[in-house]
Amino acid sequence: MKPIKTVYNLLEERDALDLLRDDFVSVATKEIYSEGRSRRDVQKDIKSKERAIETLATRYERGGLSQEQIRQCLYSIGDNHAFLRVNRDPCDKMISYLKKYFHPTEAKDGKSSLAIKSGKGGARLTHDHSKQYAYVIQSLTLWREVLHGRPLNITIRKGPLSNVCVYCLDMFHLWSLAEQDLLAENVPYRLRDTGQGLNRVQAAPKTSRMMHVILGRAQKSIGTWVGSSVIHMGDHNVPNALMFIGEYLEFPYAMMYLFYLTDLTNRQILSNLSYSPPDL
Amino acid sequence: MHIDENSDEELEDVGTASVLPTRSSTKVESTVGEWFVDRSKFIPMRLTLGERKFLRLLEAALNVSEYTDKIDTIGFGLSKAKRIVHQIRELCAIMSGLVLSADYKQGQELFADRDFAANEDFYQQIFELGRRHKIMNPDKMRSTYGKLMYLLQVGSIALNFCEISVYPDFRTVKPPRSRIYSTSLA
Repeated sequence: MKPIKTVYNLLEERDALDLLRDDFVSVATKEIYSEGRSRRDVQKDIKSKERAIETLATRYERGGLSQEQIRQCLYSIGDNHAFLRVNRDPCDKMISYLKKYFHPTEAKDGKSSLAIKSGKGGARLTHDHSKQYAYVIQSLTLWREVLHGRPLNITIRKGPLSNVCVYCLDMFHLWSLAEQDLLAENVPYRLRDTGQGLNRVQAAPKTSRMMHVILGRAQKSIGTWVGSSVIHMGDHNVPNALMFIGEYLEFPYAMMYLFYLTDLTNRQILSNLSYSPPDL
Repeated sequence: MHIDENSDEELEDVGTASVLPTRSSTKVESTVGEWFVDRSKFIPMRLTLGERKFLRLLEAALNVSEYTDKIDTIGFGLSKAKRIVHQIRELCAIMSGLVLSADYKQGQELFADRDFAANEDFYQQIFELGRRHKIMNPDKMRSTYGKLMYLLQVGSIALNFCEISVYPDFRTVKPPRSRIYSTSLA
């Protein structure tokens, strides 16, 4: 099986890993946020990013490594940052909304209560407000950890481009482990009716081990844990690593749409405007 | 957002501990560099324009393939090994047909060149494009990625090719023109 072509592979082959150690890399690959900033500031950031990319492209160009390939490497790292931002940020925002609008233990009235009852409104569990609050926050925290490990703040140097957040574990890493598990030649699968149709049931030791590390981190940061903390893998609930990855991809989608809607509603309330759909 | 020393210990398991930042500023500069080096091992390369052409070709072939429908069933007429042979052969036939119509010269080489290793490498390369694209764009290839992974899961593709000896038959496979049109219309 061919390994996935990564930025590292390409640069290593051409003996150009020093490119990644260059100070300009963080500027050349950074995400440019536009929320709450002036057009001018954003433009300035874009300019400096483009300049950094061009600087690196000319600085590290050599036989066997064209400027275009260097740009492609930097764009790829940028893509990775963008991916994590799009998937992770809604999760962060949801956690902050939960903390902002709901009390962990007390619900003032029916509207601010998160309590659910089995059989009511599609709920399958019965939780009172405080239990459901803990349940939601632990799920969000776990997903946050899966998508992107806890940030470690590093200041590179003083100046306008100083703060860059770096992260440890992330979805891409987990995905590569899942692929290794799926394509492992010494771990055969069995075709089984899992109650959800025929599925390929196959153990996924690497993904499973990583998930335990992530779960451990999430549990540590929360302190308590509501309900089961079993990681299903290679069983009737989650037959194999492909299903596992698929499940975790659904989450950002749901989050993104939910967040988009809540954001839209918030803005309308703020600007006190009634919503009128755009003319099509 | 702060550095949590305790939780970072666990990261040693996954081999990132060597790049954990320290508070001293001179060290930080070098660790950021090392961090990028370490991270880049898990950052897939963005597909180039040339690669995208082959990606579309792979997607088209996977769209037509009924691999999982035919393999993961019970009570099918043929034996499983035979079904797998049939499905992989069909997929590769569609792909080589598409390559031929996209790039006549390369397609010809694919058909004319009976060297097994050369062609295996070609298909592996194309499969890698699909996997790489999916990792970077999880919202794409929503049904085709699973099909591809299940196809590759059967074991190393090389093994499949050897076992199936798809090769000699290739010369007799006509480029499936009608299929090309049906996928491009879809």
